[in-house]
Amino acid sequence: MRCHEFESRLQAVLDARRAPEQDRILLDHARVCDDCYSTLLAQRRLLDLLRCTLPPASGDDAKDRLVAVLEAEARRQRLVGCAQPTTTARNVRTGAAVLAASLLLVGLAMWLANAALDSKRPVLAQRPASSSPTHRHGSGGPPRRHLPAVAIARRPTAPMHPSQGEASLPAIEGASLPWHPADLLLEAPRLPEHWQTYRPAVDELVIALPQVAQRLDVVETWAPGLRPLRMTLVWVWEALWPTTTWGHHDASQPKPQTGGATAADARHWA
Amino acid sequence: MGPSLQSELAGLVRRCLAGDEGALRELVQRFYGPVFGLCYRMLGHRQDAEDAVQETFLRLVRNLHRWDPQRDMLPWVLAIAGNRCRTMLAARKMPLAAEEAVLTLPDRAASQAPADELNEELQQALARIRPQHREAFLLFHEHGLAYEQIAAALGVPLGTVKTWVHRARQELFACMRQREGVTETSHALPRV
Repeated sequence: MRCHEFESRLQAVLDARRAPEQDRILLDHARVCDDCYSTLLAQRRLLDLLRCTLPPASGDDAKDRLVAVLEAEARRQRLVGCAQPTTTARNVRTGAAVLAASLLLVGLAMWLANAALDSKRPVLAQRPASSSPTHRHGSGGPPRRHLPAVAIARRPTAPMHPSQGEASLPAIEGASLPWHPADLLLEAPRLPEHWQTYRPAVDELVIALPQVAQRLDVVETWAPGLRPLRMTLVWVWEALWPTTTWGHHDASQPKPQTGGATAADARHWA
Repeated sequence: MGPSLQSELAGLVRRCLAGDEGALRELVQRFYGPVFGLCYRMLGHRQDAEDAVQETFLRLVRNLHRWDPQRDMLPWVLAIAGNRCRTMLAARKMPLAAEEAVLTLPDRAASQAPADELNEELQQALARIRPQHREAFLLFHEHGLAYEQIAAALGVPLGTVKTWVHRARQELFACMRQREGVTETSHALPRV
């Protein structure tokens, strides 16, 4: 046996929790090798020290103090545990907080998107700030684009809000316009060729668009988050408008203006 | 550990969690000795060891609900104690001046020296090795934990634990061999 083999075997014997002094192979080598002999003595002394020497006894009252500290800690933990909500309640609260934060973020993103679009796109029609009593509301914020108030005959509508009863849509100053909605339907010389296939759908859209816009104006007062939908309709209208007779006339022709289909008007009429 | 002892421990933990203060005292009685022993061997100072013991038991009480009744509790408790000791040693920055320790070793044979001096000799030898090696060595030789238990308690691979224990032994043997008393007759092996 060589010395490095002695070292490995000694470690293996100790790992197996056996006594190296009883291992014949180790002893045989230790008898002929002073270095390994002293190693064997060293391990013996070390393990003897571990076995024979105990840590000094802790103070008599050390355990009592420790128990008192632990009892206080246990009481504190129980109190804290009572004050803490259950896991289910904590999950519900967390979920609600996450949902609220998500809604807030979505709303903020939509508002920013609208603001960016408002700043980029040309204003279709904008009323003077105090041109009519219907503009008492809505000051501040980005300028709003209004859908054209085409002359539509007053028709009975479903109640828009329980408090409004059978209120109908407001009268629109269509009578003063030099054109009639039928013109929009019949005369569209600039409607692109590839749109002609969709002409019936376009007609229906043109008929429905102003009224939908008016309804959205009202709904918007209750749910401002729906404004992107209204903006979509504005873009549709902006795409359609140039295809009409009026859309390519000169500026002397009166361009359809919003006659009162705004949120402020809705509140006013209510 | 037998199943009866394990179920007894599980009952003890349940009582502790239920707020039974007698159970807390029983828990302390059961583990105080091994925890104090490890802390003292690791830190080499009784007051520091008592502080470490208190921190260990506080953490034990705070995390008692996390204990898995399927697993042995002693390695877990000793692992907490070892962590506390290592934290305290790191806070000391200088555990013990090794060379200085060697110079002050008592020059006596184990059989003749008073218990305090033998204890000090062992402490000074232990102070020479790295805390991780020391902890693994003590868990193996003084607390009788298996390598697998030590690996689980320290959160390191089995091979790493073996390496730490082997290195600790080598360094401790070397430390012992530096002493003149090692070759004295009280420890001499029969030579042919």
